Amino acid sequence: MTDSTPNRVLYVEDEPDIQTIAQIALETIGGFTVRTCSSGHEALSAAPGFAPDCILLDVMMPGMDGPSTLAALRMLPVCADVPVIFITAKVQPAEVAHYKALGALDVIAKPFDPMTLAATVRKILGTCS
Amino acid sequence: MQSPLIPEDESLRLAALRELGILDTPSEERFDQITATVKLLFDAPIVLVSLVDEKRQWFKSRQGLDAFEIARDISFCGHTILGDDVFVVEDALQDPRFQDNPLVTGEPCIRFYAGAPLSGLNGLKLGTLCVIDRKPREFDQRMRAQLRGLAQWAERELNLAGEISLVAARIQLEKMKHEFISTVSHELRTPLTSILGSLALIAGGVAGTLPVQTRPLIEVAHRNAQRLTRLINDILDIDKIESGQMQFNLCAQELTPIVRQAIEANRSYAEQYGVEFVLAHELPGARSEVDSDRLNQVLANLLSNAAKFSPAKTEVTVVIERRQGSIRIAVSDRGPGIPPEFRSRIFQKFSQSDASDTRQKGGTGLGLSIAKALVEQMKGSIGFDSSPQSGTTFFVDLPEARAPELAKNNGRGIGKIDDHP
Repeated sequence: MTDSTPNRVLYVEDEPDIQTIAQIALETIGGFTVRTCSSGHEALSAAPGFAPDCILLDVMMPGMDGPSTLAALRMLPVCADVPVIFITAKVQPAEVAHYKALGALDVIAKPFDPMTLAATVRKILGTCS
Repeated sequence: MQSPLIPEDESLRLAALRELGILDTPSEERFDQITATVKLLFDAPIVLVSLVDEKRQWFKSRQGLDAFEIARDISFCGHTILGDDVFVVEDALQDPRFQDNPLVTGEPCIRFYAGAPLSGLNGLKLGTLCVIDRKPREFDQRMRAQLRGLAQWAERELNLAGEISLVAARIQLEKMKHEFISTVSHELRTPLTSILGSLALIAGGVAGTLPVQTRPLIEVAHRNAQRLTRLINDILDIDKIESGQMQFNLCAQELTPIVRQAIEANRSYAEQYGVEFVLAHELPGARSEVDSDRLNQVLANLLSNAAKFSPAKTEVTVVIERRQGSIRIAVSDRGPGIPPEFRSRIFQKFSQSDASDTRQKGGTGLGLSIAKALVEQMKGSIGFDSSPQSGTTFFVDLPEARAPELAKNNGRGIGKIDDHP
């Protein structure tokens, strides 16, 4: 059964407490189905089975950071075209442009407001054809 | 023989000497030039620039002497640093203090000594410039004055190194301070993000309806977590500005839309205080080269301050006007005015007019100093007028940017893309 509305979010973030908050924010308020991963490596092994519609990547992570994870995920067939959104404290226009040049659809500022996170994600996804 | 006494400030003296980092360094031309000049001037066989260390005197520059150092307890220079003026021994063999000193009875056979003390940056005597002869001499006032003058030259060279390393140390310290502030702030932010997010969800009802007694407590916690976050953001901002790391996206643009936007964004904040913002005068076509986000930040600070300090049910008036080549944005409240004793420090960090007010007024104490720094980066200036009768007006003056020839359409900039969201 396929649903054309993007609903499956892979959320990659090393801080477990922020994972908890984001998961509640996206699932309870936004109705998304969320799979959280604590590292780029975990994301690489989880992605094929989960088949996400959208990937939210924290930029600053120990080990594989956001951009490295993006590059690695893009090599997986299942993730080659999946929209990716970076989550980062650095949201100056030049920095945003840099992340978009790496292949991200957009950037969400950290700390995010959990009450509006889901709506923000939907809005960003709405802009990709 | 009389060994030189140890001066009272010996430990400070030694510390200053260490800091100078000059002991046991190679000889340098700038000091050798001094001793060579003195040697020529006085026609003396031995001239030294010596530093008096704990147990020795060590020579940074020497003319006519092979040794690099001599024990302090038999030195002449050890005596020189005890006084402020030139120390002279015209004939060592006639002087009970020195007649049996090994440097007199044996090599280098000192008969005459004249030494001027050399002081460090804080006035501590670190060493001497001295002239030595193997035969007795007279040393009159004129010669003392000459030696004193040349000693000043030696002092300047000595302290040059000290001044340079002081500056280097200060720069290093500033750098470390910025790194520390940056690291600590980021470390504080992470758990705060979780607290804030968690409280936002609970307050938003996502975890279920809150019992009546719980709601206000959650709101207290949420508000204060937000306040802590603002404080950390402000600290980071100020640190970024001061360390030159804040990026500005300057772009010539109309100011009226930015002012309107700031008023809108802060309207609900003002409503809490029963205060209304009124844009009393606009200036269509008034442009300046600004970073719209940062200008927004400045206006948010001025507007929120005005609202905070306004009596309820009053208006805060915002005016945009032209003044001799610059555009002024003025925010006026009808509050109690700024107390006179506070006016001179109003733009300083963490200054708030009344400590008892701090918790009630809820600011971080950094807003105005950030505002000032931001405005100045945009080549503007910030100031205020205040009196208990008429309230306070804060104004930001920005240099006017002339509209490009293209944009001749009621002063509205066509073909110019504003980069604010």
